[in-house]
Amino acid sequence: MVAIMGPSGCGKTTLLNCLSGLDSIDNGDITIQGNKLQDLSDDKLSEFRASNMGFVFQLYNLLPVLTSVENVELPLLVSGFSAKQARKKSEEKLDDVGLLEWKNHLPGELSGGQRQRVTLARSLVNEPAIVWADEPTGNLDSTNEIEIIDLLSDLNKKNQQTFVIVTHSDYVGGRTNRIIKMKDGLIEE
Amino acid sequence: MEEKVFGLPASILANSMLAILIIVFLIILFGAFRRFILVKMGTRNIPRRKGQSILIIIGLMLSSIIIATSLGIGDTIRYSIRTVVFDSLGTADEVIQGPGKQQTGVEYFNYSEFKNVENLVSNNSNIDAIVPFIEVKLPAENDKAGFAESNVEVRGLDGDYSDSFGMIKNIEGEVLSINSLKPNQVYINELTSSDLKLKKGDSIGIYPDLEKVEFEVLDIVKNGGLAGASTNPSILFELEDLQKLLKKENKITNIAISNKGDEVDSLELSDDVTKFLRSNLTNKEVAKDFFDILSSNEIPSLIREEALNIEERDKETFEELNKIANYLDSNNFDIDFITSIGDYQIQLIILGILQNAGLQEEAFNLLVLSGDLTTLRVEESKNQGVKLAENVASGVTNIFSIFGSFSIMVGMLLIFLVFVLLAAARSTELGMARAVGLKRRDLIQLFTYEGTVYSFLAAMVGTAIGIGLSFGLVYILQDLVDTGNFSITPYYSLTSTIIAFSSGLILTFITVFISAYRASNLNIVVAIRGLKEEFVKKAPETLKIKLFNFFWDLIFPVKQLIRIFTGNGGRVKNFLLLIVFPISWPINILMSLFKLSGKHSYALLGVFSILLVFLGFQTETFANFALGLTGGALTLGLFIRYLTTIFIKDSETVNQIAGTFEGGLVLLINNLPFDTFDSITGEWTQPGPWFWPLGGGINTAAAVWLVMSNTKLLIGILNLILSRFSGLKAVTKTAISYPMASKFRTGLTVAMFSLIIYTLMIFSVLNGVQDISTDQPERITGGYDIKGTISPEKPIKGDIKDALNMNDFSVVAGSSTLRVEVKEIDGENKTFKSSRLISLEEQFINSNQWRLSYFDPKYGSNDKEIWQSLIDDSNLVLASGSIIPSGDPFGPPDRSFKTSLIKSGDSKEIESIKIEMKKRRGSEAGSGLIVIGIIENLAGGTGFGGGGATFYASESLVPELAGEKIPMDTYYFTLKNDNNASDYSQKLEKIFLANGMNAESLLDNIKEQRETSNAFNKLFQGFSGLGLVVGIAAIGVLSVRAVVERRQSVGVLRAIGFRASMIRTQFLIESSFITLIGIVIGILLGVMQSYLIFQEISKELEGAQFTVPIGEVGILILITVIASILASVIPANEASKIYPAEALRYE
Repeated sequence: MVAIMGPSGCGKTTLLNCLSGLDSIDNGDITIQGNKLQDLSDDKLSEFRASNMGFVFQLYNLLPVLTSVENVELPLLVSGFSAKQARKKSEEKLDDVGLLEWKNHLPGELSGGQRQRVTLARSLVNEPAIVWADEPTGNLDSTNEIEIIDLLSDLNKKNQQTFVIVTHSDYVGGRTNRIIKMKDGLIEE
Repeated sequence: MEEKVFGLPASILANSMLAILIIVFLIILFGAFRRFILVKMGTRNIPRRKGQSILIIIGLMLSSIIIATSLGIGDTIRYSIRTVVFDSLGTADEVIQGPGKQQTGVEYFNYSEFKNVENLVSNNSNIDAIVPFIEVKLPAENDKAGFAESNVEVRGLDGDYSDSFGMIKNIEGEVLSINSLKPNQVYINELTSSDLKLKKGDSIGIYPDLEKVEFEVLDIVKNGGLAGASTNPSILFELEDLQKLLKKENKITNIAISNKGDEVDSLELSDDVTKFLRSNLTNKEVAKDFFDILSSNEIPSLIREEALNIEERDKETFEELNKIANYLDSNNFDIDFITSIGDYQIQLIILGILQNAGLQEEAFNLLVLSGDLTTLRVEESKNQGVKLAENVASGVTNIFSIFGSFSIMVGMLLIFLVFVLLAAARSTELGMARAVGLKRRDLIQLFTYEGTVYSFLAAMVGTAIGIGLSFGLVYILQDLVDTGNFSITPYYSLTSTIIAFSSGLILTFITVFISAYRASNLNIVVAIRGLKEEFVKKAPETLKIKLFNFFWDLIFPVKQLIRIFTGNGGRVKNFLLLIVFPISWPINILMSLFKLSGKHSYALLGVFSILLVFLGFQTETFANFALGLTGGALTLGLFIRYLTTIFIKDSETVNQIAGTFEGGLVLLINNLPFDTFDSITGEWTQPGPWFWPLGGGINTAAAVWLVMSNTKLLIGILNLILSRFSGLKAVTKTAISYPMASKFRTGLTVAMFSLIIYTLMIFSVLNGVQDISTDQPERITGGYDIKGTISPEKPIKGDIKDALNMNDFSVVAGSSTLRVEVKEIDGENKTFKSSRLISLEEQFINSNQWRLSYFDPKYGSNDKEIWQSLIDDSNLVLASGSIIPSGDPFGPPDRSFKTSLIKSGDSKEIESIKIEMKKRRGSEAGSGLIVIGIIENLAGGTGFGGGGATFYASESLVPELAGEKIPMDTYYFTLKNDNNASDYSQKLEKIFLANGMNAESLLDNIKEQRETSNAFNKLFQGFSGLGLVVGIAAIGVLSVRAVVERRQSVGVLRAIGFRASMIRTQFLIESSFITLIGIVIGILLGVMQSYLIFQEISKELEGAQFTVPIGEVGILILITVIASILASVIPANEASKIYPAEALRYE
């Protein structure tokens, strides 16, 4: 687990977006699993994201018109899983984050913590090597924050997945294995 | 005659609309000057988002376009017919003719009558000039060139009068005098010259009887006026020469009267002049005797009673009868009475009233007197022509605006949708504005200013496009109708421009205002935070407050006065509400009643529905009854909603169940067979054609409500189907879920498509049903190939077959016609009404294949046997389908005989009808006859029984009734080889040129009619389809909005692996999905409704088949879906280009 920390506007989210291939870079190299992201076409990059990466954002970013389980299974459907398989795997992931009984609820019917857990389930459902999380606890109270970070640590240990977390929270930073500090667009330490 | 639009006088309509518009604009200007900042805030978005503004204006234009087009077509047709009327009548305003007592042919009267009229009018300052003349139709030919015309209008003018009546000019423009004609010379008009290829100095052959006489063409005169209309070939004679030629010395057929002043002024004098002439040409002593008879024995009240009976069918006669009753009551024997009683149809009606009341002696005296009442008839020819122009024009305007009203509704839905979306897009901005102190009414103003600019631009552009479109459509119409020389001149009146512009603007404006009001109701916090719940839920009022408000609203004007006095709630607003109290009072009472009833407001609707049904019974109007039933169905649905809320807590399930019942029940009640309530409402007033768009609107709204209440089910089904296509799964899931989540805007868009597709479907299906002429043409032609009509004055001598090579024909059969008067013996219609009696040769009866739609089984078990029984018993007759009242809302009132004993839709086997028939204007008693069957309306398609009541009998009946032998005037021919019917009809015209035969190939006629009606249908479909443009614009607007609203979601989808192309596909599927729901609902409703209409048609049209034109429907679906996909391609592309990181940052 790696945390990226620093004051507002220092470039944390931009770094995360570049690393995850959501944004393009002007120069330099980003290599993940031997793939140079800047050399991949837009479609290839989309496929790469679909099968190797997961995302968690501060504003939950669930599709409001789909139920929890439908939100979770979306990346699998994109990757070409059958509807049945996708549903099964999504329910497992929802179970992992403790929300199986809420699977047929729309995001609007869930609390903030619950929504973030659905997002987490979605980011993990395709068993990605890396999960990128941008302020995953930014909108949560401290109880929910602890719950989410506990969940992230458990998954990190259990599934051997890398978590790159952009955060303002010292508590979150403290729970990671490494903290990258940024200032004015540069990595300080 | 006053021009009318939508049944209202055009100038009043235009002025009041203009007045409303000016008031509205003054109010807006007043508000704008007070707070100009709101104008700035409201209108700044227009230039900023040019694309969106243009899209909105295109959508808003539609109502103006449709209204302007409908009015423009009416204007042009009115103008063109008027032009023809003025062209054919020239300076003549009124025409005097014989008394109309003659059985057949042209009626002559003595020249001395003209002298009397001349004396009479010499002191009348309204009359400018008069001219006596003879007008007959004769065959003419150019022997040398081999050209002939069977019906040329031949006029003999008295040169002493014609020169001062209206100028006759030759084509070089020189004025000619009739007196310059020598006995062997004639003038011909341009049309005769071109038809017969004749020049000045050529010889023209004319057939006054069966022998041809040659004349020299002295000059070629310009069409118009005395020289004959540009639509008729005509020949001009000096009166005496023509009298000699026709052996009618000292006789004339017409006297033309010209009023003082120009075209318009002289028309205004027409009423007075006609009255003057009628009263002076009526025998006043006889009229006084009439008056005295009618004043006795409660007759005036009997007349009033009869007037009421016919009020609905014939407004004009109703007024005339009432006038007569008034004169009688007030013992006022004056010119007006004499004029009214001079009308022959009125005399017949009064005679009927007397006979029905058992006043036989009075009736007999009246009958004797009526023969001497008038010597000559005065026709208000020009005025009537202008009236005809008016009727046709307003009929056409009505048809177009009814078909267009579907598109207008769709246009209004679009305006509403646009403003809902605009409000949603700006909710944060507006919330901020409210937070910093803007009041709710400021927001209304803000939106209204913006909307005003859109509406104004849209109304201007729309009216201009509509005017252009109307000209285009008129040209197409002209091509279709094949009007020969009837030229259509594009014309648009200022009144129509004002009506089109103001009504389009007012309609748009009302919708804008309602949308603005809706948008202003936002909750500040909800708006700023961009949350979903857009509207405020106020704390509920207590029962005490509700009751208090209700009682206050009962005395609304007092409440407003007190409010104005105390300044509570804005003086200006309260003052405005007080001014419009006839509207605001009932609305306020209703609203507080609605609040008072709370959860049980369905009961309120229930009460109103029952009241409507009750009103229906009271006034015997079907429209009230039907609307009441619809209200009742909705009440039941709402009651079920109330019950469901008690037992089920989940609001979504409640909405699903209740919505299904609400929509379903309303649909059910509106799609019952038309005759469901016939036993109750059979005799009631049927709703006018305006009910049709209303019904369409209700049907569509109910269906959309039903479908949108069941989105859960729909998503389930679609997911089940689409999950089979693994490649599309992720895309379709999101594509379907988004529109289903925004039910309101999706519902609006779906409604637009369904409404238009619904109309187009009805057109397509019914077009197919009517096309019986392809499969069974003999039901129209009777199995004959050619129909030939001749002038009854020049009958074919001897047997027609002697003049023909009978090897070419299998049947040649003739008939003769007599104008008669008919009344029922047992039914309600006991007043003699004009009709025609046609006597048929035996061979005709044996050979024709026309079918009967009703017959009395006592006289035969099938059509053939019924026809046969006419031969066996000359007291038996068949009647045309036009004796059954049809209630055609567009046609002029049909004053010929109607039966009260058969209604359309009755079973085929009927009991025969006893009638009494006498020759026209005959004073002897009529003969009792029995109608044993009715020929189906299709037979009228070739003129057999078309237009007015017609009876058919064996050969002997006509001479029996007429008291003289009436020559044959119509022949039907069946060729052994029917391929050359068109050639043979020309041949027949040549053979019987001297008899003035007009022959036409019946199959060619049907073909032409079919082509015309198909083209008409396509034209109307195209016009109705204009609404599709709006639907497609709506899809465009929705897609643009969706892309803006869902940038973040697009970012998320891209982050989790959606490719750019998947995003594009998702948006495209979304728009075609909405379109498809609309199309499916429209098709189902359309098929259902047209099936109901078909059931009605098939009652009268035996053998009609119901088929859905799959090909046409397929094309319709394809075009619509492709167009809506095209409309969303640009926004969908925009969406696919969104860069994920950028989208996620965007808020």
